[in-house]
Amino acid sequence: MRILDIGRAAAFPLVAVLLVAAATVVPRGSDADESRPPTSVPVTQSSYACPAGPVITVASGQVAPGTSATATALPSRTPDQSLGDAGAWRTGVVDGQGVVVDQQGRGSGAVGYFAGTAPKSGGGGLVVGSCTGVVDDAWLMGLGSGNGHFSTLILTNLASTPAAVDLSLWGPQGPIDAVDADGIVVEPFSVRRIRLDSLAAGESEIAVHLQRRRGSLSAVVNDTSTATFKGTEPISAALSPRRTQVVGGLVGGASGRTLLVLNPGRSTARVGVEVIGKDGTFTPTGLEQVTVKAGTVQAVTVPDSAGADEQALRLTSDRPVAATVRMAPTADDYAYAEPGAPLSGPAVVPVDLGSVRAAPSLVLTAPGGAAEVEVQGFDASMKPLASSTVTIAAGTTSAVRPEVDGAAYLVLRPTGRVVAAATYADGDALSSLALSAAPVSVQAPQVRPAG
Amino acid sequence: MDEAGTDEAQTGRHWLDDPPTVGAVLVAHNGARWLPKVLSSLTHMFHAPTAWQAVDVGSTDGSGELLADFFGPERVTQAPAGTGFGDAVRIGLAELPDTAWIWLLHDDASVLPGTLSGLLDTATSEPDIAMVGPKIREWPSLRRLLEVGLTVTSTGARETGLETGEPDAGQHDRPRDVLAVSTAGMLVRRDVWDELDGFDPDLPLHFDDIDLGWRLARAGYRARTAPTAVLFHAESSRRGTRPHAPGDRPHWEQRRAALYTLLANTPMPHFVWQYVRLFVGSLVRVIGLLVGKDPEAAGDELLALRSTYLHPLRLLRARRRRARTRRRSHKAIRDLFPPYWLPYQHGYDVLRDTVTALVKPETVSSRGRRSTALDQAPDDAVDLDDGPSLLLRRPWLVAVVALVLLSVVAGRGLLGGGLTGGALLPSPSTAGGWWGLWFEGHHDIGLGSTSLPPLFALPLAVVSTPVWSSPSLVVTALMVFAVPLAAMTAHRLGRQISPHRIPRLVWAIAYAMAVVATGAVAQGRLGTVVALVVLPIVVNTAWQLAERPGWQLALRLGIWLALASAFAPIVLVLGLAGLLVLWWSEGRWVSRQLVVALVTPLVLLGPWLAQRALRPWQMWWEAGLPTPGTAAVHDVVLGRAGGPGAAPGWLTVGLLVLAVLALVPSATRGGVQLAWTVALIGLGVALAGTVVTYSPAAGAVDVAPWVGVPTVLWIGGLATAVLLAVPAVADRGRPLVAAAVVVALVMPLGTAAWWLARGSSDPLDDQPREVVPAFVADRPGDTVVVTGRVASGIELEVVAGDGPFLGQEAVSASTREVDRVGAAVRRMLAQSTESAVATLSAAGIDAIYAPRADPELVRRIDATPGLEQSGSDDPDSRVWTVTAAPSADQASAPWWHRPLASLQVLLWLVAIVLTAPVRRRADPAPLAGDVEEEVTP
Repeated sequence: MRILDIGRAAAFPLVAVLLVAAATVVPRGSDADESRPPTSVPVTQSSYACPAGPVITVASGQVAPGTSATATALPSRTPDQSLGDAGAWRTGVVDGQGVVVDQQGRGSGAVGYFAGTAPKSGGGGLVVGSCTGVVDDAWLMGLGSGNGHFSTLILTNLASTPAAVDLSLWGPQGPIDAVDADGIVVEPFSVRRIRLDSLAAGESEIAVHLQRRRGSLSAVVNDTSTATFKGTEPISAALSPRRTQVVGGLVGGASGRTLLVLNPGRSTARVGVEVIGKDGTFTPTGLEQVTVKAGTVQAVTVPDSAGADEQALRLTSDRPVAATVRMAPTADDYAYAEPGAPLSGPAVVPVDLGSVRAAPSLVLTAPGGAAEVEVQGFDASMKPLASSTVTIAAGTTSAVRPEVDGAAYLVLRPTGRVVAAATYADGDALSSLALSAAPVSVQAPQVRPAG
Repeated sequence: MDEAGTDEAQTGRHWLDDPPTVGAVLVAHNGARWLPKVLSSLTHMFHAPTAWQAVDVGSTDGSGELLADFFGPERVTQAPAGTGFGDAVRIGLAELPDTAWIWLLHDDASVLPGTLSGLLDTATSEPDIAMVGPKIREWPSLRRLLEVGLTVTSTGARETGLETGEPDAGQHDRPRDVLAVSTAGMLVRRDVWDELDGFDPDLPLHFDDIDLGWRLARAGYRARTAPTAVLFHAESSRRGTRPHAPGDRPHWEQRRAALYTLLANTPMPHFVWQYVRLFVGSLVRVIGLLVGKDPEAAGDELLALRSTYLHPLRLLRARRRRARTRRRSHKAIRDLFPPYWLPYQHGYDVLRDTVTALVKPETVSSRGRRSTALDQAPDDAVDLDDGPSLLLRRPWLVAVVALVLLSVVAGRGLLGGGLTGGALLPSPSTAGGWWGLWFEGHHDIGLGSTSLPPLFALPLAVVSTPVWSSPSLVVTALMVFAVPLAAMTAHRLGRQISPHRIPRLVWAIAYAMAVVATGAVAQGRLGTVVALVVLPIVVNTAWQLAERPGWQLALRLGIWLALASAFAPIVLVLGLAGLLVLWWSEGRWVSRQLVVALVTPLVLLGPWLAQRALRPWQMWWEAGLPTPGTAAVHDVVLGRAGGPGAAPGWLTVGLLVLAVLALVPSATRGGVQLAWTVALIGLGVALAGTVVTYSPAAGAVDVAPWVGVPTVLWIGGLATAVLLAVPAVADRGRPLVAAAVVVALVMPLGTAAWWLARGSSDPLDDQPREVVPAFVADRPGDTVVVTGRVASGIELEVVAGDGPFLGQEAVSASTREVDRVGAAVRRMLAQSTESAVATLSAAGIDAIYAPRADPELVRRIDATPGLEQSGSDDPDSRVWTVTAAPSADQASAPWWHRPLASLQVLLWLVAIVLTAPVRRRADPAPLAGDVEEEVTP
């Protein structure tokens, strides 16, 4: 009896021990610090700004009809009716320094382009560029401020609050200590043009890094040259410095290709260059390794060994670098083949560019595995026309000239990884447009109430 | 006799030259018990009445025979049973010759030899004196004063101006003018009596004296006290010593007489006001009496009101009669009435008694039955022996004073007021904030919310109402004095469970130290602190319930459980387990009470509990912010709940060892095992708390619970086991006891030393903390506070003004609003669109604040049109303001919220009232009835 009592008494500490043991073994609840990466959401509204002027045609389109669109000419802030239809491909010449297009609609994928022929005084040449939305951080390659090569930075404030940017400049000799390059303010709904020679004169090769400090602002560069290469070309942001990138859209013609590489880092970068050509990927003789010193822009002539076909270059570096390729196949005009990310969705290729009558040809590169691109034409009222499918073998580049009869624009729908560019040639006049996916969806951070 | 003699010596008896004639009327009703003494006192008088007449009102105890023997049969008139005092006097007077004065006597009032001469001294001193009354003392004590003149308050209370049981030390021995005197020993001029037509027949029992005095005063005569004349009154009817007889008046007659007297005599312009006021006031009294649990008095009040107000003609006639004899304005006699505030003073006294009865029922010697009767412990008794020091005589008092002083020292960082930090939010600027939280239709917590307020706001509102403008005092007092408060409630429990003074004192302090050792105070866990202060009361009540089952105790247990659960809902879970233990240990016979104890908190916590129970783990969320707990298993075992401010764990190791050893002695094992069972409940729940998480709002981050309450239950249970084992160890060998004492003292003393050294603050602090920068708080709209990183997820909170106050954190914004704002912020961070800003503006938001800004986040917000960068006080933080004006309209709560909140308050009131001791009339006679006046004499 007594033993039984003691046994019962001993049960209490025993239960305590068992409880503790159980609590130690039981797995804990979910970790409160789990990472919640951004997820994709459809775009409902997008804004972009295009440079405007009497010789510039602005074209606006979308992948799917939007609900509404407004175009505002700057700096007058007058609405422009010609670009105000969210359900059609529309072109117009806007009276002003720039135009801001604001389009509503779920997953509409609104895009804008501008095109024109530059006057002879500025070097002449064909201009086709894409209108950009708000930039955070733009790396602009192939600029100049001397020796006949001049660039003008066109900054457009898309909003009613002042915007400000900081600029960093690099030249072949190293970073350029520019005057007044920090805290450049752009007033609300206005366009500010900054000639690069007002910041740092006398440099024939410049790379610019633009960082937006505040406000919402877009940036594009108008590059003109009367030097060894002649003509005019718009420059939009290249990919930010990275170790691997593909510069797509090199047009045919082996001469006049210059690879420009910026190494913004603090140590020398060794860059390997491969050509992704019509038949495959190879390393051209003379480009096995390009050395780019820290903080410099290096210009390297692409040798004939790279071949004369349409092609793309794949750059592999041990340090993050930014790159572009200047192409001057003729003496009359030049263009930039800009690096592009593989298309992540449908991309719009402008065909109807108003006064500019240059049909696009597509340079499609499959840097990884084999890929397909469905190319479909649409008329101005967004009615689908003929479509075709282009197959690209792994590690090759295909150049196609799609059927564009009656088409106002083309939509490319990639399957697989494709880096795409459109080139426009009007006689000797040439322009290249790196293609990117229309803004149908966007990565949004995950948001939840604080605990 | 002596008194009378000196009185006589001092007074010039000028009236003796021509003695006024006095006709005495003695009214008797079943007064055989007193009559022999009364009659014999009448035989020794310096000056005897000229003529006598006795009236016997239907006596059945031989009073009539006594009277006949004494006065002779021809001097005794028989009156039918039920005859009122006034009518009986009238009958007697009819038999008497016409005398200058009438002297009225009761059958339970004896006189001194000088009583009548003393009355006559005063009566003849001025020509306009028409009524004189003696100093009435209590019979048989003979020393206590009963009445020296009477008046009536504006609410109809008979006012003697004396304290209850006031001894006669000559303090009222100056003759003075009064409104009226008692009918016992009243000397009244015959001509005035005839002019006023004696007592009002409509006042057969009560207030006849006051009514007569009032009419007499209005007729231009004076009523005066004659303190040299002393009369002893047995108040037989009041004490219930007079046998009941048919024809006795009901209890409510007294209140009716009061209303009737006031309304019949109040002069005209004032009458209208009085008519309305007494009606409304009586209804208020009914409510007050019901709340004060005096249902019989409440019933009387209603009956009296009905009887008075349903007979307006009777009132009209009475007023007309009085108008005939009126010669003086009311203004002239105003100083005969008590000051206007006297009724309120009485009301306050009653209220104070009621509250005292609720809080400490056992200390109130209510006339009704007691609801609880705690035995007074030896050390509670007042010890007047001043031999040993105070420490030895009143160790607990000394301990409490010491704990209070130590609390002030330990709370050195918290005395600035306005505590905040850790889980604690600041208090509202006035107590109205908490009342508003309870009653307002929608809560201004940033986003519109329609959810029900947390229940703990209600007790906070009640307690902070007396300090209306600084409710933070309440929170500061709770946090700073958490240790003495917990020790006091624990010690009260200790008296129940242990007869050993010093061990239970140490035990109570150990419990209080266990509270502070968890870090509950330093982390601002107000919910834990309140719950742990209340927990010993809960156990105490449960203990009493087990000893004397009763629904009132069960209800009280439920109320205390509800109060603790309002601050820390996990107490409800612990309470449920505790009730099961009680049921298991006490058997079926308490099961009905246990159901009451369980249902009461469910009802009192009401819909708010349902809100919590919908997400079960939210029961862990206590009053204050849901700041995560960080307790590991070993923390819980050692009585710590993790986080800052927890005492070193090793201090508790000794207690664990002692608790295991406490199971060894077989003599005390039963109680020890019960204590261990309670401790194991605490341990089990606390350990469960270390493995679960809860989410305070839909979609919000999961939070690990803070397990302070069950952890202290675990430690407290172990300490109780040790305390209960003390009797078994007390007679063991000295070394063993000494070792046990040393080990037992390590925990309370060690923790106290640590507590004093560390202090109670940090992260709790008395400095105001900015949730948003001041200039943002001053803006008209609300602010979104954005934290986190774009790459790993953003968290946001919408803040109104300078941030929520305590209680608002538990009011969740409506899910729809939260989702809308969340989607807008997500959209804004994805695309920088102006429409997202417009959504924010429509939700009443006009600023975005990022306290620790992620550069990517800043870039994205910067790009958004419609936002303007504003300066911030911290380089790491960023503020943007919305350029558009914020929308002001907010969602309003469903219409039923306010009635529901009121119902909830009513339920609490009803529950508390139900646990109060019931007042009942002493059986068999009424408490406050002057019954003797009716049938007396």
